[in-house]
Amino acid sequence: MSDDVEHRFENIDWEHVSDSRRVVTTERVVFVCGMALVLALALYDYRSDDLFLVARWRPTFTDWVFLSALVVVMAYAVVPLLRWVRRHGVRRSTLRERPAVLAAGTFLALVGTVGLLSPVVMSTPPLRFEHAFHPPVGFSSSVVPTDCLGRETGEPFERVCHGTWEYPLGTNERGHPMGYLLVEGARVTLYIAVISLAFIIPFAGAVGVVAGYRGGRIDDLLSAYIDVQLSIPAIIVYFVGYMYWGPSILLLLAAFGLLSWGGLARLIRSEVIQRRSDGYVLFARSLGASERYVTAKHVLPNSTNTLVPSLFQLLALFVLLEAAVAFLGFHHLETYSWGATISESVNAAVEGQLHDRADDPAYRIWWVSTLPAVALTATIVSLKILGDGVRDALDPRGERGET
Amino acid sequence: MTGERSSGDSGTPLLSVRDLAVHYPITKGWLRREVGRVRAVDGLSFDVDRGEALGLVGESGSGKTTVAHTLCRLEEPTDGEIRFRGQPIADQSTAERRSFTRRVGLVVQDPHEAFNPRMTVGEAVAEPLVVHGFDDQGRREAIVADLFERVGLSTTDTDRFPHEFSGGELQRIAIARALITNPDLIVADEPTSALDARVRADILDLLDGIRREHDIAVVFISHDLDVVRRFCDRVAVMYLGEIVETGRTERVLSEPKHPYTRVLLSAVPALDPRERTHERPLTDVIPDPADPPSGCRFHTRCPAVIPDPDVTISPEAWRSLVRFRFTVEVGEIPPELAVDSDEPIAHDLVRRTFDLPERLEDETLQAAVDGAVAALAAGDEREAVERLKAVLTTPCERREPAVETVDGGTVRCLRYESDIDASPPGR
Amino acid sequence: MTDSHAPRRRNAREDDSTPLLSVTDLRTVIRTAEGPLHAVDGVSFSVRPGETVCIVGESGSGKSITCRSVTRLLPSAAEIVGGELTLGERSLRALPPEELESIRGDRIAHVFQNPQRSLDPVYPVGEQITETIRIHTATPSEEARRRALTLLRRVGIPRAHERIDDYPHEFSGGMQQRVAVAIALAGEPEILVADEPTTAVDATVQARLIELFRSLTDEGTALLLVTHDLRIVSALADRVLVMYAGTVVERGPVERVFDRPLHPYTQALFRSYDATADRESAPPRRTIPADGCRFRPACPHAVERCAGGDQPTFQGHGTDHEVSCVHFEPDADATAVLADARRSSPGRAMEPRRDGEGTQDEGSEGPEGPGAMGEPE
Repeated sequence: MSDDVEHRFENIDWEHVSDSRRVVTTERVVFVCGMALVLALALYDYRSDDLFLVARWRPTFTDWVFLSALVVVMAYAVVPLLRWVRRHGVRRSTLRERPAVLAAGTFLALVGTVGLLSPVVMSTPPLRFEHAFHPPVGFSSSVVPTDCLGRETGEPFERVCHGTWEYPLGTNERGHPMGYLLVEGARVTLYIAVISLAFIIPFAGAVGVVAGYRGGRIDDLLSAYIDVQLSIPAIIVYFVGYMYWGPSILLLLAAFGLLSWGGLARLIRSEVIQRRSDGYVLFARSLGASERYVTAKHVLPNSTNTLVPSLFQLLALFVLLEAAVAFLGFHHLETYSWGATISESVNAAVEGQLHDRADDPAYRIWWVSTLPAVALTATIVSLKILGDGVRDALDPRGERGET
Repeated sequence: MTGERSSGDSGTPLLSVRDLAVHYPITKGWLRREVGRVRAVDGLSFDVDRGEALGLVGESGSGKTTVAHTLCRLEEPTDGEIRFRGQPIADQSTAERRSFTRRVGLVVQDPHEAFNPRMTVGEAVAEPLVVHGFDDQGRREAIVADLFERVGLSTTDTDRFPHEFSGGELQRIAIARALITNPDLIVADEPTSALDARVRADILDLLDGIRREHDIAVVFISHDLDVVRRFCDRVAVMYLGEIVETGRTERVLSEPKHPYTRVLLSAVPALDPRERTHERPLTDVIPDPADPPSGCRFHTRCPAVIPDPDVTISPEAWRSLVRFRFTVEVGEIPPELAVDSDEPIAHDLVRRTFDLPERLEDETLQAAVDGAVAALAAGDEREAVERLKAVLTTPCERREPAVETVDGGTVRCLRYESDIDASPPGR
Repeated sequence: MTDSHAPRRRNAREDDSTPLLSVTDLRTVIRTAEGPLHAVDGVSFSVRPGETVCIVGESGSGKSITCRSVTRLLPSAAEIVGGELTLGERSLRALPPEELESIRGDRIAHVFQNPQRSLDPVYPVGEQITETIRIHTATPSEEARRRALTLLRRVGIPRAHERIDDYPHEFSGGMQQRVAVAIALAGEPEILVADEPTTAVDATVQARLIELFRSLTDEGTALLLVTHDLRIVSALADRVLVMYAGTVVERGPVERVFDRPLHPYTQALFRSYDATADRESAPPRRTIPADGCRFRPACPHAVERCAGGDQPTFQGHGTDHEVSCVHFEPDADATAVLADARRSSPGRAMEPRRDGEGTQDEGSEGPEGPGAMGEPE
């Protein structure tokens, strides 16, 4: 090995350097294989209508969309992330310094895993109205179910039902255990996050990048369109859609997703415009690198300080939106999102009680609303904290976005 | 043919620029109607030979950075032709383009902005190799490490991030990055402007050494004449998108031919705190590149602006008058003449401010000047301008100078044209 | 209008008039993640009324922090830890913040390097000037506006009456700097402190700014100017201080220092302006010692004596041109350094002269001032 000679730049034989563009990247492989699998399964399901994906899971259209979105996220988010972690290592010391970020990340991972595995592990419990409104273990409730599995105490007409380990977290109106409801809510949250991550955000990104790069008339056009779209109230669109197609997560994501990607697109556009004249971008362009390369390698990574927190913010917003809309009652009766569950305790018809919404019922069956509310809050807060944490982790300078 | 050849060189120059023009349209309205053009570069021609260092000197608005970008194909010219190694660089095939970008390196202006903060400097220096398809990662890293040492840094620096380095060190890294594809030409855009004096000299020495060792031509953009003097074989002086003078560096800086070069040289304070004569431009405002002066673009500021043959007053008187005319035309009314109240200004004050001669032999001129003074005193600038424009005419505003070859270089000034009866400035 | 190359009237009287600004053994420390940085490490100088003093140095020399210490406009991580600062008779160090604010602008004003950053982009320039006027005097607004107009004219803004209500971004860089000077002048200060006011502008614009500063000093305002550019020093300074690594290494009247730069660092600085001089190639990184002569790692004349203790005491042999270098101490031999002084002086440089004067010889060698550094001749 003529060591020395090889290492000198003048000795590169450029005539024989072939332009080997890598066609086969890990991302592409994962994407193609994953999508092929999903499509095959979907087709089979469509034909035979007899598909149990895993255990007792009968996939609906929403589920297929989710699975495709999951493939996209795996291919284009998880794979690069793993590569980044392998290259830069996870700085243990930083994690130790930021317990909040660690906690947030762990919590969200938990929510995600639980949501993902729920159709595998759990099946829909049967309706048991006689077990409605059991309190959690260690608590007691004066709203006594027809068949209280725990200890019953108290005077006649003032009976109190105590919690039981049969239903450690209590039950809702239909006798479904709270644990199940929480897990179902986690699943809905996961769906929202993954679908918006896979479809809405890249779309916003593409529009923002094109508008920022091309400038001129294209930029004018796209920006004007974004402005118009942002001024349409998404909730009205959702309600109109609701009237036609009934409740659905997809509809929710479509309405809100379609109408709120504009903000992110604008942000991305402004970042692209700012970075376009940075020295290293100019240099990369002078090398003849394609716009895609420059955007992916130089513009976007340097925009993470603004983009990453925004992105997490948007995810948090969608989760909250779904909860709000569900809370208002516009949800599928069998979609047990956290918002839906919260709504139930407020709107519940409690037997033997006066129907006075402002008063007792919600208070007396507090666990039905509180538990999902806590889960929801924890999720939103975790998303925001993790967003800040990821932003800081990506910046090698360890400061807040100094350009 | 413009530009001279270095002695003993035969064959085509490495880089050949002819009538280069880069115009930016000014648009109005939704449909982007063009209402004007910024003539950033307007008819530039020069050559660069193998291994030669050419300086492009100019102030802001001269278009020098635009030229740098056009040479690297970061921008497309509106007109004109650039040939590299004999082939035009417009409309290249992908392979040709690839070969071109490999042979032309770029050093950008601010070293602190020249690097992606998220990439290590080793990755940054390797980027040209990666983009041009050099896949052997092990060999890449070895080449990068070797190059780091050659520019005066250590091999362990390759894993550091840009913010960990000083400006001078970053510029060394930038040079390494421009060098790594073994280019024939490096375009350096103000590479030393952000650096201290000693570091500047170090970087220039480094670049010079590299250039000579590898026979690389350099197009060196700068506003700093000291730097150009140190580094460049030849220099081209730019003003408002045109080259006004070229020649060997020592010659241009010691015996400048074009009035703008003289103005530029004398604007820089002498290093020796002793005095020397200097020439002030007539007005300070640099004209808008979207609306450059007619004829010779420098005529509104030129201390050597040529009087028409029928003008019979002395050169000093002519200069005062023409300074008067252009100052008012451009709108740079001196502060002494501005008043708040509506009282007219004393004519005497106007005359004194502009150092106007008391009496002129030429009656027409005298009348015009008196009229202009009166108009200005009354606050009517437009009238003053009209009066002066009518009589103080100059061929410099009517006629664009052609490129003349002089003393081994070129100059664009009517004083050097054979059919104009005027001697070169300074004589 | 003052010509930037006209002979300069020396306003500073060479007698012992009381210094306007007096800085003695100033020490300023900056807290950094790697520990305290002694940005200013024992700097002493004075500025007499009407005098222009230039501090010249490279980045990291501490020149900016020095002048910000004088006006006490330090970043929060920096702190003056030693030395005395007096303006007239009052000690600037001991002043409480309120009094300091009244002095700032009124007696001593600061002009920053980058007018884009020192001018407030949301207020018209006229308002920024009148605000300053009214902070320091009880002037009614009409009067203040008239004065602002006068100031704008004074700094050479054309059509001032039309532009007084324009915003900073509507001015070119050179004009913005003039506006910044106008704001600084609003309080009629006795001394102007300017930190690199002419960087970032073109050569011709710089020439006009130099004229502006000249005309201000001609009227009697003292000027403390910080720059890295020896040409600016040459154009404006009466006296010059050369700083390196937080210490002053050489000081004196500008002609003397330029005729014969004594300190090896000053010599290296001058040589970097000379296209034909051979220079030592400098490896990019050197640690700067915290004691003795800070320049010794890069100095071709370094000896053991240079290390340890405080920086070498100033040697002037009775003149006002002093240098902090062990080779000029009474028992040392300055021959080698003096030889370099001759080589490095810009008078010897191959400066092309258009007006036909010869290059070297005659005037440059000059009459040796009294108490010249006893060189063998």
